Amino acid sequence: MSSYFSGLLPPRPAPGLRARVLAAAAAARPVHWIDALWESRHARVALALALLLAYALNLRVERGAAPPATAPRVVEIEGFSVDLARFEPEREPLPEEFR
Amino acid sequence: MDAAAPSILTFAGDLAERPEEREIRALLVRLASGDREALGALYDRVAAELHVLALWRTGRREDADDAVQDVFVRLAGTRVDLGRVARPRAYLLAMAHRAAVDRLRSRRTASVDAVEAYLEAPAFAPERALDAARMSAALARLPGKQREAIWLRHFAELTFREVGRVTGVTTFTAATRYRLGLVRLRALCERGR
Repeated sequence: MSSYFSGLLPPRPAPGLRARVLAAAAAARPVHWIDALWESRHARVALALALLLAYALNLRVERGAAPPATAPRVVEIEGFSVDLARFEPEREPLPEEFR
Repeated sequence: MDAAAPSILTFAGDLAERPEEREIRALLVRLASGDREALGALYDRVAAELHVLALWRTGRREDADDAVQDVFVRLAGTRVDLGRVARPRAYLLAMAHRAAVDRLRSRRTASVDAVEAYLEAPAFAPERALDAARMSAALARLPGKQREAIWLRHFAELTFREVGRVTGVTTFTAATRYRLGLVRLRALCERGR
């Protein structure tokens, strides 16, 4: 195969390209740190892991959370209205006849 | 962000540094220390290689010009410590590869109208011009990935491992692209005789 290529050369860039490239490079501004961070593969992996961790923690919080706000706050127990928000069995024990 | 610079550790652990690598590293160190004059010297040293890589990948000279410009704009504005790059030449080739791929993605049509001169006859051997035109026509019929692998292996003289790292594929894939490209190129050349 090298005989096919032998003696042949790849083309060189046009002479005017040098000035164009260097002018563009001279006008270039430093990359913003956010972009620089995003360019880093390690930073992208760390971000993905952080999102995964946040998702897992969120699931754990949701499992132990209070009942949804749609649950009734005042319930009827054997003819008595009990306000669940204010019901504190230790401080307000049930009357004798209900024990 | 697609033309992101490769990781500075990407090429660590390869073979010992070649002399031309040392020269490029010295220029990158100057650039990293704020010496913008180093850009011109770096262009003179590596632009031809980067341009050919982008040309063989994209199949269009305009895209190759833009890719080289993208690389140097990125070098001028990068926050990467260029002095710590393990394999400077392969690092720059990887930047050119990514810039070329970005150009291909942004191009609306995949087809290439005119056949670019992928190879030219040297000035002292003008009788090879017809051979160069035939080879260019055959190379134009190869997929850009195979053409790129052939250039990196045969002309840039990289190892398959380096070709894989520059193009972001495994060593096996790089070698496969090279061999498939050569087989197809040989068939095209035989048919053209």
